[in-house]
Amino acid sequence: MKKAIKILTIILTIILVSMIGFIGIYVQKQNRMENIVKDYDYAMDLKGARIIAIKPEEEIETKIKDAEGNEIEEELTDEEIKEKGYTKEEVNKNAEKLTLENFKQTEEIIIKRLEQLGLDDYNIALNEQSGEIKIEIEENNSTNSIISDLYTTGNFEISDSETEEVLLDNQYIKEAKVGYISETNGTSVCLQIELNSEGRAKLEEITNTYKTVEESEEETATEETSESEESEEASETEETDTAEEAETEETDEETKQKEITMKINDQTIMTTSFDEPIHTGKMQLTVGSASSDAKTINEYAEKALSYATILNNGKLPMDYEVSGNEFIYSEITNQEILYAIIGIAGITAIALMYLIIKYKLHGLLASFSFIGFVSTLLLLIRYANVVISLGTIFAGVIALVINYLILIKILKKKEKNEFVTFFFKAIPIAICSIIFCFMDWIPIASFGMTLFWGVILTLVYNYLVTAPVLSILENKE
Amino acid sequence: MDKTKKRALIMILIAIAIIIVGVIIAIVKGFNFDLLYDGGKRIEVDIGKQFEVKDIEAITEEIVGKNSCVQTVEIYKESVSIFAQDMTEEQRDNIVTKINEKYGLELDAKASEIIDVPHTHLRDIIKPCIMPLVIATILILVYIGIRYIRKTSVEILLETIIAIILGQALLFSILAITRIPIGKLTIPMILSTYILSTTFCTARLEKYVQDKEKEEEKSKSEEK
Repeated sequence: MKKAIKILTIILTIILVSMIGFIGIYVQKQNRMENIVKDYDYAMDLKGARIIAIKPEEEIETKIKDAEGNEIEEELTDEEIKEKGYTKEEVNKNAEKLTLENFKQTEEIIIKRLEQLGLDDYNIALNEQSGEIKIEIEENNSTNSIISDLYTTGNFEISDSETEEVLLDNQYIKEAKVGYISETNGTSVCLQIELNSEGRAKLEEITNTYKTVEESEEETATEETSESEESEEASETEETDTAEEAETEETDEETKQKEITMKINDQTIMTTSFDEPIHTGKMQLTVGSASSDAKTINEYAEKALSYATILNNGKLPMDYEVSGNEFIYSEITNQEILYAIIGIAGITAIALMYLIIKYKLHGLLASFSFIGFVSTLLLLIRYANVVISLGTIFAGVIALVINYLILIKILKKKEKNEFVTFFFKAIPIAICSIIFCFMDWIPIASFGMTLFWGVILTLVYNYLVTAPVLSILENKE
Repeated sequence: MDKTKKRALIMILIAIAIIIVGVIIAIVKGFNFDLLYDGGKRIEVDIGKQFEVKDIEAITEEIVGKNSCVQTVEIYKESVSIFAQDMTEEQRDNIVTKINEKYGLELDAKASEIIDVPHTHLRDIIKPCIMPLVIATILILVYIGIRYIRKTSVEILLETIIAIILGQALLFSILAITRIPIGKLTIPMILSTYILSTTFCTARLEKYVQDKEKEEEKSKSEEK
């Protein structure tokens, strides 16, 4: 009697867990029933993705050519062109850059940017003829800001603010990263740019040339100039006016504040001079202002990361523009997923029927246990935040097969220590699943996580539920 | 040669034969790519109201054939993306006309520009798998080395590596022969095959170890 109650309790628990796992728990919320069990989170392959298409930017230039094909520089009206027998051609200014090598380089840079932005779940395809690139990424709140980081050319320039002479550019960057500085009024986010050895020397030279001229220095310089003028007057030398002017200009140039302009993507980040020469080859640019609000800091950090990503991976060989940007639902419909589930459920039902026919009551209990295992695994997947992808379905099926095989072993009582044997056999699967879990690419990570939980649950569940139930029944008999 | 070895040899020979056929087909015909991975032409039609994917599929199939794919666009599900291996302007016009007839619309076909969708290379599809599989293989070999070091030899480690490579080669050969399309299912297939081949190796090793232990126990009891 006591054993019967034990079996009944376990069976009822399995039924309860199965109902929660398969159907859920519904509670009334604002005149409607809502399932309070955590919902599944779907990956890009099942949910859909943001599909972005970028293509080389066309800069159309009109060229007028004579009958021999020589370019005509002067501006002519259409009538004049006709009269003189010239022809008008529209040419893409960037045509020379449209090479396969440049297309591939762009693809590589975009892949690097995607990876640095932490977007490992992506698909990319390059049209080798036109240079158009299709990128599929997951849809979330930051998708829009990420897109602009992908196709931005990534120019970095430090130039003279007046002459616009480029003093430093992308080729001197070693690494760019995001840094945080604790200040009295909060945390400020900064972009740290480290230059290579050549860049370090250049920066040192720039910081010496563009040193901040202090006010006192300027005053002294002016005083010196006036003193010299006075002395000149006193000595009454025969110097010409021109010489005097030249001297004054020279002194002005020495004391005039020279500044640099820093540009990222042709956008001026700052125009400044340097208080002290920089010998380390490291520059620190503050992004935003110091704040104690986590949301604001995150926003600044995202912006800094965006700059760092662009600077770290080199600049695109040509300008690109967006030719398509939309969210497209997966071609795998809910109905198709349902068919797959029905198929798996059908095969499982046949396999469980086999157990019942072959092992009678033991088989029936083992089948009950199997259903409990499936529902527990479904709950575990949801609460362990496993993102459901096609890989999850494959790994789930592997976990079911493993569980089924161990059930047969328990039923056959072939091996005394089937759990120990299973443990050793499962170690390579566990190794694979743990490695896959740590991968950022969702299809692999979700496969690994499902398999990991599947293997763990097979061990724990069968040890705690299946084996005790069957042993109770055995003792009863 | 005992029965088990004979059976194993036959299995290996069959596997090698499949791989050879697969390699030949892959070289001559290449792999069959899923439509969305193979590249082609795509148009987008802004219907402006919710629609049945089945209806659009029927229209598309009638005009461009079965080799097409219909997907809903954007959250409001009022636009449709139609993908086909090839699509002429005439076919596009016909599709839009039929959609207009079906939903009582007056959409301009020229507004749906034909977009070239590039082909996704196999190397780009399988690239993310390489690193995790290499790391997992190294760790599994270390585990096998430690667990079976007394009972097995270097040959076992080599056998494991061969089984893993053979498993993947067999998978791609089957994909090439059966023309199963390379696409979203390829990665889970690669991972599943990998798991199966490593499990097969360790199960075999475990059995070998158990048999040996039983033999040793038997001989010990006989000696006693």
